[in-house]
Amino acid sequence: MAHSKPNKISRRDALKILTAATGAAALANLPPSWSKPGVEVGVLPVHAQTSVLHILQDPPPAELLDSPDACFDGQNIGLTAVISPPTAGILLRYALTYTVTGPNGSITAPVPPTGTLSTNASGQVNLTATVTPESSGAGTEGTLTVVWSFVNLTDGTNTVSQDVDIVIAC
Amino acid sequence: MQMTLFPRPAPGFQMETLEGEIVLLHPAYNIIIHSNQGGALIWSLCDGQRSVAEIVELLSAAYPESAGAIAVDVPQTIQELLSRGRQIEIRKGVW
Repeated sequence: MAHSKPNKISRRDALKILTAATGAAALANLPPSWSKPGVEVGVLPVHAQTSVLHILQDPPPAELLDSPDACFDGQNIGLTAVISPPTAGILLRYALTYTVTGPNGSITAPVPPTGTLSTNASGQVNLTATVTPESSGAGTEGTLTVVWSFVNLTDGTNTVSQDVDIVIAC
Repeated sequence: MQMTLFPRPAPGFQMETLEGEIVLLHPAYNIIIHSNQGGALIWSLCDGQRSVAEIVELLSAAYPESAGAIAVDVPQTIQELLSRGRQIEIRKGVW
């Protein structure tokens, strides 16, 4: 990005970057001089409040769980989705796919690879998926993809997806 | 405030401009943030791709006469948004 070495940029370039970063959305004209930032945070008045709309956040990294006999029983992968604000009982839909890039394999759990889960009090759901090689001698290699979305659009509307590289060498 | 952290607004904020100042609304949190131009500049530069130090350097290059104040104001403002919770997210690397 153009700002990677800001300590070496000229004032002219800095103003250009600021205009690009702020001009379209926030500030039609950059202030001629620096003004001490003032930020006030408040709560929307009741009449302006809407029903709580949640947001699916970027998923935390998937966990490759201990799978001692992955060639026969498959590799277990721990997947997590997180919503904000944290709320219990929000239904999330998951859809898993496995794209093979090497020896064949498939999702053997959960079956079917789509379903719904309810968030806990921390606004999280946890899902364990299993990818199993078609041939225990060949292993498998591919990408497991999970797409999370809200079951009820009144709870939230965005979706997030996560790719997990799978390599089971046998 | 560590200068090597990368801040960005929490997802879901809607920004409105009013006479050079900004108002940020978050319908999920029922939060409203009002900021003057200085705060608006900092907010706009918190894109998850710039560290706190880079934001300071950029603003200092743009307003060299206020470099000393900017070095204090930027981390202070980000820290204030952090301490009030949920307005801004931060981590040790680009988002």
